[in-house]
Order: sequence, then structure tokens, then C-alpha cells
Amino acid sequence: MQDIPSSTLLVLVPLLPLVGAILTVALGRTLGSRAHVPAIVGIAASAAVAVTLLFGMVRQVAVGNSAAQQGQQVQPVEMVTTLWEWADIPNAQAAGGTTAASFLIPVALRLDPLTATLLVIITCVGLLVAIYSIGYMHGDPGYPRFFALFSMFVFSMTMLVAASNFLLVYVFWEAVGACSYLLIGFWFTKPEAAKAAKKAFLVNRVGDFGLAVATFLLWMTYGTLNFHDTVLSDGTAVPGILGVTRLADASGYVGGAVGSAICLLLLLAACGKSAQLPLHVWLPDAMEGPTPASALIHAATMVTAGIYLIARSGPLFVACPGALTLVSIVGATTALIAALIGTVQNDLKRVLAYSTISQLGYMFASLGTGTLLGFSAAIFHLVTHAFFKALLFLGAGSVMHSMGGVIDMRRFGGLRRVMPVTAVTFLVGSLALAGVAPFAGFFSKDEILASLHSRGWPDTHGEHQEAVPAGGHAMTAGSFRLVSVTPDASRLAGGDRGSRLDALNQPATWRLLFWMSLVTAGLTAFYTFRAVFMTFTGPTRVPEQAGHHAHGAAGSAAHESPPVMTIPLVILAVASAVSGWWLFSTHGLATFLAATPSFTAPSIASTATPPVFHWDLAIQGTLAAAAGIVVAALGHLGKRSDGPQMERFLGPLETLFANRFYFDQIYAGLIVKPLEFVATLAALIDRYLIDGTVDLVARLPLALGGLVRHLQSGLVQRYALAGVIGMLLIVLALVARAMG
Amino acid sequence: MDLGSLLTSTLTDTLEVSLPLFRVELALSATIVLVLLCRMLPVLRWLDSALVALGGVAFALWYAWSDLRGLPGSPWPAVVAATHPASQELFGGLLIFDSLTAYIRFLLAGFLVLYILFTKISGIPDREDGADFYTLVLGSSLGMCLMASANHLLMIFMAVEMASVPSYALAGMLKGRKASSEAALKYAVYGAGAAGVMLYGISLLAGVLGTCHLPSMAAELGRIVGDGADSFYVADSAGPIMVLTLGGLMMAVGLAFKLSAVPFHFWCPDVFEGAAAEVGAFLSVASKAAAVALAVRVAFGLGWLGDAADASAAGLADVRHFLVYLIGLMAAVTCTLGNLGAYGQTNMKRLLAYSTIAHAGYLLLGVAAAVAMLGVDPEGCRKAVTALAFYLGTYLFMNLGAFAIVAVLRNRLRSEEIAAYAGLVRSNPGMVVAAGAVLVSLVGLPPLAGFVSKFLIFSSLVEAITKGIERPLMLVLLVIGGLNTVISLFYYLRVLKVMTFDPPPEDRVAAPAPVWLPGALVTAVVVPVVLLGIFWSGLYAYAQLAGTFAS
Amino acid sequence: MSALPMIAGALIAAPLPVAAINWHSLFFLLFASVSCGFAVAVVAADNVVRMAFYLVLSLGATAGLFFLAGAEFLGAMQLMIYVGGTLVLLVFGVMLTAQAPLVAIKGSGRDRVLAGIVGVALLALLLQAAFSVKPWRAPAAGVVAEPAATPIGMSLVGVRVDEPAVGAPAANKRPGYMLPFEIVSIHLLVVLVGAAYLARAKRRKVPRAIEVAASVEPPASVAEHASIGRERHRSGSVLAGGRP
Repeated sequence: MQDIPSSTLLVLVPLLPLVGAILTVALGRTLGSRAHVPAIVGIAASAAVAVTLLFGMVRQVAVGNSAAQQGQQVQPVEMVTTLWEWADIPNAQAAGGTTAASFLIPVALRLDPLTATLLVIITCVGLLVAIYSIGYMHGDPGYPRFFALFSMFVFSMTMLVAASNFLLVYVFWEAVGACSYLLIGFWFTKPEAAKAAKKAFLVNRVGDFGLAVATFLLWMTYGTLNFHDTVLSDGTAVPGILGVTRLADASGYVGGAVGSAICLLLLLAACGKSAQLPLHVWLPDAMEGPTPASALIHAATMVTAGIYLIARSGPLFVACPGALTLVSIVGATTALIAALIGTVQNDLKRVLAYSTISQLGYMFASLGTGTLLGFSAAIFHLVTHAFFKALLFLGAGSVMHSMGGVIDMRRFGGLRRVMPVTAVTFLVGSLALAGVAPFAGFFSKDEILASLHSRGWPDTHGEHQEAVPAGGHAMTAGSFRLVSVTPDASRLAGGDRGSRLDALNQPATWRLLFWMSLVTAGLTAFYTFRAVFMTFTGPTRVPEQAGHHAHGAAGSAAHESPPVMTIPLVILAVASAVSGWWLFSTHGLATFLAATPSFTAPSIASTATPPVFHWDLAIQGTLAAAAGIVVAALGHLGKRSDGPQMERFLGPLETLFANRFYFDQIYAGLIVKPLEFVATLAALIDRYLIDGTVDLVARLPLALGGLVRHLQSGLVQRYALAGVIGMLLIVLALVARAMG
Repeated sequence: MDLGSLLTSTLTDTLEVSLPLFRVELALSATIVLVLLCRMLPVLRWLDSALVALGGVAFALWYAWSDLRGLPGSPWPAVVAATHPASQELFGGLLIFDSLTAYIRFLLAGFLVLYILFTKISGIPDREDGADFYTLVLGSSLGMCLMASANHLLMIFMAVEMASVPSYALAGMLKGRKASSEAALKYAVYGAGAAGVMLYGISLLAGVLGTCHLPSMAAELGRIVGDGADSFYVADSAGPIMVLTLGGLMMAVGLAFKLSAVPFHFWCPDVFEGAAAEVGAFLSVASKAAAVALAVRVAFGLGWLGDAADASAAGLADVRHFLVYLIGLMAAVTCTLGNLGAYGQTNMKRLLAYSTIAHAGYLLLGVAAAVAMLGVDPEGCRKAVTALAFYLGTYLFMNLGAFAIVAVLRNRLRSEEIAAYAGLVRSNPGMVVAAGAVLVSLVGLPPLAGFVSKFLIFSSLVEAITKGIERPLMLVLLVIGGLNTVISLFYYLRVLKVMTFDPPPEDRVAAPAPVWLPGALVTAVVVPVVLLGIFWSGLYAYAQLAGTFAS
Repeated sequence: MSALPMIAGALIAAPLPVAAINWHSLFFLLFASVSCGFAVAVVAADNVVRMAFYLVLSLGATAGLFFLAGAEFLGAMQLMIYVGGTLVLLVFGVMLTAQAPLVAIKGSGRDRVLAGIVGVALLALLLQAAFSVKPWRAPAAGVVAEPAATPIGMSLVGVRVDEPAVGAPAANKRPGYMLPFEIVSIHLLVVLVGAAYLARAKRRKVPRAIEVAASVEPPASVAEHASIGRERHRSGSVLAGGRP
């Protein structure tokens, strides 16, 4: 560590998986069934480097904090490595007096607490999932392809969180999307898989469009795309969008209409990638891909890119309270609706998919509070969620593997006797997801509820009351208590359009969001344990598809998965069990994240609260979870999973839930059908008009009759003639111009 | 002045000023002679002419590199900074040496090195024809070098002819093939016609302006167009202006022929389809670079007098306005017809020919932007020329790559039809990946070199628009350029679709062709296409150097 | 050079005593009409050999115009290079390689009409342009053609010994022509090599595989498919239009 500069190490984190991917592509055929070796070695080495970097970063933050004890201001910690200047076009002469922005796009990687945390999560969970995949993907004809794509994904994802400018983020935003697309459609011969891949691709385009426009607007507004402060080749310094200079400047961020537009576009992008309303429809279908890919990409890492983006651009959002509130509204609504849909799903992976959407909604809700507590809670939940959701997916994959590809919970049951390791680890994961103390999800969910509660009932969280962000102005510490952010106050602060949105920012809104989240917690516990009970309890039943495992243990048709699959499960189970308690009790993660430059903006940093365990919220949350589990137990514990379901009590609601609130149908009616119509029209136009035009152009001579009949006839004298005519036409055009 | 002093000054000018900056051309000339000597003398018969040519061209490249490096402001200067003046007229004003000359000559020499390797590997010409082939290629390149540095109408005409005439013979290289001879004949007849028109235009211009030296012509032009009250041309300036317009137009015909701009592009598809892919590569890359440089030089030479602003400057604004409209009109039509013509083509070389035409259009868009901002906004103008220079640098690799792939696949599949490429991904995945990179780069999608080039060209149009220079025209050009990029997407990607999705024909007989050398060649040409999209500051710095030529 | 009104006047005022005849104008008229007339004849003729002959006459008359204008050197060059060299070669070439499609070249009627219209339009444009320049309508005062090859020869080695024309722009840059003179020798060498290459018969009987590959014509099915967007390729001669 001392010898190798951390900039080199930082480059190694994405580089090693990339090398792994390239080697897998190059040697895939040669390696055959050992094609996983380059990928796993690359990701493992990358994980080791990431952990090293994390420890270095922790030490640095600790040093910085102890040095800044007196000032009470948390010092931002960041390290930026510029690999090369992708573009460096200085604008020496600014026209018209205004400073035209120089076009400077460095390929720069950054390391700060947020990035370090995410790098570790991505590489470590990625490593475990990759090891698991050795067993899961065994014998698949696309074995090398899988590991090449997997490695490529780890590369893209690490680059995404390490990139230090918006353009680079956009590039890798697309890259992870491409990996995701290719992995969803991994079994492209299956029509559902191909369709799901297409759907994911199309829905994500909407979000990507948001990011592209947001990037453009950021460029227009701030004159740079870099996160960090940069110095141009001619010596002038450009404050980065999230660099320390701008962060320290209380009026550094644009509010009003433009700021809100940027934030809403970023939110749109985040909604696409993180499957939030209304762009959530692709994620459940994405489960057609191989389960390890679902575990890593569609549960643990890629779908959290939206969370990362909003957390990273926190100061931009805090300057636009309306947009910020909308983040929470979107999040909490998504959480509730996805949880409702999850309660009636019978496909184990789809239950988990809706659960993922729901949990991501939680994180959004937390981010939207705009407080330091909210941001760190979201990242905290991101970390714990990565562990337990990967665990649950891998557990589901293990079930699926044993059941010969069957994943419908009604077709099997009582598997705890057949596959005990999977059952126990799955249970641990479920407890964590349901938020049962002392498993990981309990603590992170508690923090999220606390952050929402602090906005809904500001009085009870007196210490940081005055610093609730408002109207695009960061409150300086020590200013008097702000009663509430009235629409009038914010109209003074922001532009018209911004303030209309800002009207959302009411304590009543936050209270509603809090209650929604609490209900969601209960629902989460319910559908999780419904799945657990349906799968692992009741009489043991195994579908006939589990045939190829017929020689399994104890004469049963199915058996436990091989150790290469169960060991990652056990590791993840341990992490799911203890990580929450460990990270919460030491309060390590929150303190660590507070040193992320984005969170040291005065508008965010001043909302810091002393670490408190909110007993009241913990009890409410636990009660909700307990209620959910009890209901699930009443309905499903020990019963045949294909028997009559308790959903019948829901009446018409069941139809609503089972049809996923008709989102797909609504989209089909509102967007797909009109689009199909347009597409048909376009096809007709293509066939008759474009083809006709092309034919016309190719046969323009024909169309113009005898005049220039065979324009490209192969006859050179006609070419000469056409040339002379062209010249005369130009003369005519010039004469006409001179006349007119 | 007596004869003695005249002789002395001529000698000094030639030996001390001109020849040291003329080393690239000298090296090429010497190489031509050497190649022929080696062919002629029995003692030297064993020497492969490709190797001789390669050696000579390597020298030329070295000279070109040191010329480029010796310029003031070079990103990587020589040990002793700036050994050359920024701008120097050679041979009494016939040629000019400046950063544009140095840059284009460097591109050409670099291209020649790659090109000779390419032809050596692809097998056309065979050893027997090598001497003739390389003599023609080098002779043509010599003309292109002169095109890049011409500063006098006489040299412009000679350079264009020197570049063209050998390529007529090159087009007819495949003597066994009827299409090849036909292509050569068409090319020669059309080229001769274009040259005649150009010469007529030159004589009109020279007749009215009384000089052939570009800067002197610009001064005269400014005077005539500026006030019309002229002692020599007695009051009625409408006459000279009409002649000048016509002369300029006719000269543009010659340049448009070299650029294959519509409506003087007709030779291009026929020649490319008839000639070997190797010849196509030469015509589309080297010829294009030289022609663009010459177009820029003529337009700048006639439209601008340098910083010395005097009475004639106002007149030149009208000249520039005329030039911008002429070039812009041609650019728009060329882009559009090139791209539309590429639709429905079944022969890969013919498709690439139309692609070449379309790219000539994009380049002309850049020229139009540069001329529009010339003298009005020096910074923007410099950026536009920089964009052009950068475009040429990346275009070299893109098109050389495309034709190299065509040649390698021809050796393997014995066909140049797109349909023959069906399902190639199964047997030659590497080649399909390379083709994908090249074609996508030709469309101009990130993160490949073509994207950066196109981006720079379009951004110089945007710059002109934001600064309100020729706004309506520039806006139209920008829209047309954007539309064309979209149009071009489909026919390039169709080739890729055929390569990947279509089932391979049952009757495919893959010729037993060597794999490693062609593979290495294609890799060597295609890797820069990718790298220049990611690390483009290096080339851009040199392109910027080229952009400073007019200041 | 005399102006047209003078020529017209000379034509109208006939008969005239021999002494009154402006011989200069007469010869100009003669050469010009021969040159233009046979140029039209070249275009109108169907037979290649005749075309070549008309071209010789037209170019020869042009040489006469050069002599009249006092450019003896240029006139001599015109005679030697075009009339003496190129055209004799062309005639011999045509006669030796005379083949059915080339002996009689016939464009389609429509082409002729169109080409006629376009040609006349272009001619009108050029005439209008040429006559619009005042100094071109009257003889430039004080230009004395020096019937000597010395200035030309000197300028070809890079030294200009001739005096600049009266009234020429002051900023006129007058370079010597050493570079073009030298560089054109390289060009001629290259072109000769090219011509020799094209004329030379290929010695090897069996072409190599690659050349076979390059000369493969597209299979029939592809060719049919090709008719969608590709311009039709006429078989037969490049120059002979309208032949199936």
C-alpha cells in the first residue's frame, strides 16, 4: 500500500476485470470448461485491491476527521486520477465577453468514501456471484460468453462509480446497460428472453435519454462536466460541478427552472436504471436472464446506479427542494406498489424482482429527504440490500438449479428437507429483507424510516431542524428556526416552474411518505415469508423437471446444490446477518460517507445529527414486519403451496395486483400500441416512400425522363453532360441569388 | 537588374530556401527512379520493388515528420525548437510551405507506408507488376504533395494532373478484367474533361487578374470586387466579376472532380467497382486528403490576404461569401446524393465509393465553415481547419481499414459482393469485429474515431451559427449533415447485419488464404480507429498545428 | 488582336483593293473559322478516323492563331506536340486497333439534342463573359511580342528576363518556371511507365489465384438482385451509346 500509489490501485480495480474479460474472449474456446478462470481471477484481484483502497480511505477519513475536530466541519476526502485528456480544446478567445467554456473532458477516476464503498460491494458481491456461477452455469454452451459478459459488467460498473465526470458516467451508464441487455438475452433462443431483453433495452433508453439531456444541460449551465476541480492547460481553474470549490460556495448551484429540469432529468435517468415508477416494468421481465446475472446486475449492483447518481448529485438536488421531494414521492410510491404486486406473484424470482424494485424505492425515498441521514441511510441500505438480495437471488437460483429450471413456487414445496443449506441461508436473507432485528435490513430500514420521520415531524428531531434545505439556499448554521417551507418562500427563491414543484415539499407529504413506507415494511415481510413458507415448508414436492438430478442424495429426485454454489450462499448469509449491526453500532459507514465531497456541501453537511437509535421507529418497524410474517404464516406455513391461496381474500384487488396494476397493459395501450401504429406507418413509409425515394434517387434519371435518363449509365459522355449541366445549374443558382 | 544578380538570387532561393523544405518530394522522386532502376538493372532484379518503395517512403515519412516537428508551435518540437519558419514560399512563390503543407505531407507519407505494406500483404500487385504499380503510386503521391503546397495556378494545375494521370493507369491495373479497363478509360476521359475545364477557368482568372500567384491574385481580386473604380479595368467592374465568377466555378470543377463532389462524382462508383480494392483505397484516402488541402488552400488563398487589412479586405468579404455558398451548396448536394446512392448497392466497393462521395460532402461542410469564419473569426476558422485536418487523419485509417478488409475478404471468399459476406461472423469473427469498428466509425458513432471527426466538423458549423456568421446557410448545412448521418447509419449497418445475422451461403468455398499477416494488417489499421476515438488529443494537437496555417 | 467589328467591316466592304485588305484580320478570320468549324465537325462526325483528322486541322489552325498573336514559341509547340505528336499517334492507334464498335460512334438523338442545348448555353455564357472584359476587346497598348525563345528558356531555368507587361498589377509575383519544368520530367517518366504497363501484354499465362478472385464477376443471382438500386451497367463500349 505504501509502495504503490493508490492512483495505480484505483486504475487496477476496473482494469483487472477488463483484462479478465478480454482473456475470456480470446481464450474462451481453448479454456472450455475452465473459461471462468480469467474472469474470477480478475474479479478476485480487483476485489482485493478495492478492499485495500477502502481501508486506505477509511484511514484517511479518520485522520481528516480528527484533524478537523475543532472546526466541526467534515473535510471532504477525494482523490482524482486523470488517466488522459479525452478532449482538451481550450477556448482562447471567448466571443462576446462571456467566458465560453473550454471543452475539456478528462478520463478521470475518483476515489472517495462513496466510491470506495461501492467498489468493494461491486467487486466482492461480484466475486461471490462469479464463484457461484461456476456451478450454476456448468455445462451451458455459452459458458465462456457468460463469464466474458460478467467480467465486462464488473469493469463497466466499477468505471461507472469511479468516473469523475458526467460524460464518462454516461458512457458507462450505457455500457452497464449493454451488458445487462446481453445478459438478459443470454439465452436468446428463448423468445421470452429475447423479448425481455428488448423491453429492458427500450425502457432504459427513456432513462438514458434523460441522462443525455441532463448532461447537456449541465454543460450549458456549469461549463464543465467534471465532478472535481480542474486546471486547464492554460492555467485557469475550472470549479467542477461537485468539486470542493463549488461545494463550499453557498450559491454554487442553480435552482429554479433550470436546476429543477436538470434534477428531474437525472431522476428520469435514475428511474430507468433503478426500475422506479413509471419505468419499472423491465426489471421483472429481466429475470429471464441467468440467475447469477439477476443477482448481481438486477439486484445488487447495476440497478443501484440510479441511487448512486442521485446521491452523487446530492447538492444539485438539495438546491431544488421540489425535485428532491419528488424523488421521495417516486421512491415511496414505487416501494408500496411493487410490494403490493409482490404479494401475489407465484414465480420465486419475480417475487424477488418486485422486492428489489420496492427496496430501491425505499432508497429513493430516503435520498429524497436531502439530509445527510437520508443519503447515508440510502447507501447503507444499498450495501445491506446488496448482500441479502444477492443471497436471496442465489438461493432462488439454487432452488431453480435443483428443480431443473422450474421456479413456480406452486410446483414445489417443503424443500428444507431436500436442500437444507439453501433453506437456512434463504431464511437468513428473508429475515434481513423483512427487517427483523438484528439482521442487516432492520438497521438500514430503520435509518430510512428515521430520515423520513425527521422530515415529517421536524419538531421531534430538533437539532437539525433549521437546516432543512429550502429554496435553493443553503442555510448557514446558527440561523433561526425555519417554521416550514411555504410555497411563498420558495417562490421567492426559485423560478416559477421550480416553485410549483416546491409546493410538494410539505410536512404533510413527508408524513404520508412515512406511513407508506411503514406499510411497505409490513408488506415486505409478508411476501418474503410467503415465499419462504411456500418454498421450504409444507409437504416435500419436487417437479418432474428436476430429472437430471435424479441420482441425488437420499434417493430424492432433487438434492442440495454443489459446494461451489452453497459456499457463496453461506458467506452472503453471514454478511446479511451481521453487516447491519456492525455498520450501525460502530456508526462507521455514516461517518465514513460524510466525508464524500458531495455530502460535505454546507446544505447537506449542516443536517448532520448525532447517531441515535430511534426506539420508537424500530418498534413500529418491527411490529409491521411481525404483522406481515404472522399473516404469511397463517396463510402459508406448512401448507401445500399449490393449494388454495389466501389471495382470494383480496377479492378484486388480487386481480389488480396479479396484473401488476395493469402497468404493462397501460403502456401497451398508451405507448406501445400508438408506437406500433407509428412503426407500421413507418414501415409502410419505408416500403413505399423511402424505398420509393431511394429507387427514385437511384433511378432519378428515369424519373426525370429523357433529360438525364441514365445519369450513372456507365456512359462517360453522359457523365460529362451531367457535369456540365450541374455547372450550369450552379451558375443559374448564383445568378438567381445575385438577382434576388 | 543584371543577369548575374538574377541568377544568384535564383540560386539562393532554390538551394538555400526551397530545396531543404522540399525533401519529401525529392525523396519520392528519388524513390521512383530507384524503383525503376532496380527493375531495369539485372544486378538489382532480385530486389522486391515493394521493399525499395517502402524504404524510400520511409525516408519521405521521416522528412515529413521532421518538417512537421520543426514548425513553431509544434506539440513535440525538435531538440532545437522551431527550425522552420511558420510559412515560407518556395521556388519564387510557386509553392508554399506552412503547417498545412507539413501536416498533409506527413499524412500522405504515413499513408504510403501503410499502403505499401497493405498491397504487399494483399497480393495486388504481384511481384512482376510491382515496379510499375509503385512507380505510379509514388508519382501520383508526388502530385498530391504538390497539391497540398501549391501556391500558384500553374502548380495547381500541374499538381492535379500529376496526381490524376497515374491514377488513370492504376484504375486499369487488373488487365485481365474488362471492368477494370473500362474504369480506367472512363476515369481518364472524365478526368481529361475536368482538367480542360479547370484549365479554361485558370486562364480566365489569370487573364483578368494578371497573375497566377494566389496571394497576388487575392490582392487584385479584392481591388476589383471591392470598389470597381479601377485604373486598369476602367470603371465597369461587372464584366470582370462575371468572368471571375465563371473562372472560379470552372476551377472548382477540377477540384470537385478530384474530391468526387456531386455533380462531378460519376467516375467514382464505376472506377471503384472496376479497379482493385487496393487502388480504391489509394484514390479514396490519399487523393481526398490532397484535394481537401488544395480546396482549402485555393479558397483561403483567394479569399483572404492575411492580417494586413487594407482597402481590398472589404472586397474579399464578397469573394468569401461567394465561395461559402458555392462550397456549401456542393457540400450539401454531395453528402445527400452520396448517401442516397449508397442505398441498395450490392457490391462492397461500389458502396464504399458512395461512402467516399458522402464523406467528401462532410469534408466540404468543414471547408464551408472554415471559409465562412475566415477573417471574421480567426479562432473559429482555425478550429474548422483543425477539424478538417483531424477528419483527414482519422479518415485515413477508417477507409484504409475498410478497403483492407475488402481486399482480405476478396482473397478469402473470392468475391466483393456484400451478399458473399453472409454469416461471416461464424468463420471469421475477428474480421467482422474489425469491419464493425470501421463501418460504425464511418457512420460516426461514439466511441470511435469517426464520431470525434464528425463532431468536430459539426461543432465548427455550430460555432459559425452561434457567432452569427452566414447563419442561415450554416444552419441548413448543419441540418443536412445531421440528417445524412442518420441516413448513412442504415446502409453501413446493413453490411454488418449481413455479416452477422444472415446464414452463410451453402456453396461458400473459403480459399486457403494465410491468416496471420492479413489479420495483423487489419488490426494495425483498425486499432487506431478505436484508439483515436478514445485518445484523440495527440492527433488533435497536430491538427491544431495544421489549423494555424492561415494565421 | 483585332476586334470583331473590324472583321465584320472587312467582310461587308467588298470588293476591296488588295492593299486595303487587312491581312492580319483576314488570316485571323481564316484560322478562327477553320479551328471552330472543324471542332464542330469533330463532334458531328461518326467515324473515329475522320474525327482524328478534323481534330488535326482544328488544332493546326489554333497554332496559326498563336502565330498571329505573336506567340511564335507557343504556336510551334502547338504544331509539334499536338499536331505532330499526339494526333499522329492517335490516328495510327485508331487505324491499327480499329474495331467495329469504335469505327462508327453514334450517340442517341436525344443525347445530341441535349448536348447541343447544353453546349450552346455554355458557349453563350463564355462568350458573354469574354466580351464583358473591356481590355479584352481592344488591343493592349504597348505589348510588343518579342520573337525570341530566350525569355522562355531563361524562365524555364528559373530566371525571368522578360519585362513585366505594362499596366500589370504591381504586386505581380513573377516566379521562374524551373520547378514545373523539372517536376514534369518525373511526371512524364511516371506516365510513360504507366502507358507501357497498360500496353504490355501480361507474360504469365495462368493468373494467380488472387487475380482470379479479383476478376470474378458477380454470380447471376446477385446481378439480378443488384438491379434495385444500382445503376445499370451498359455492356459494350464505354463510348458507344445506346447499344444493347
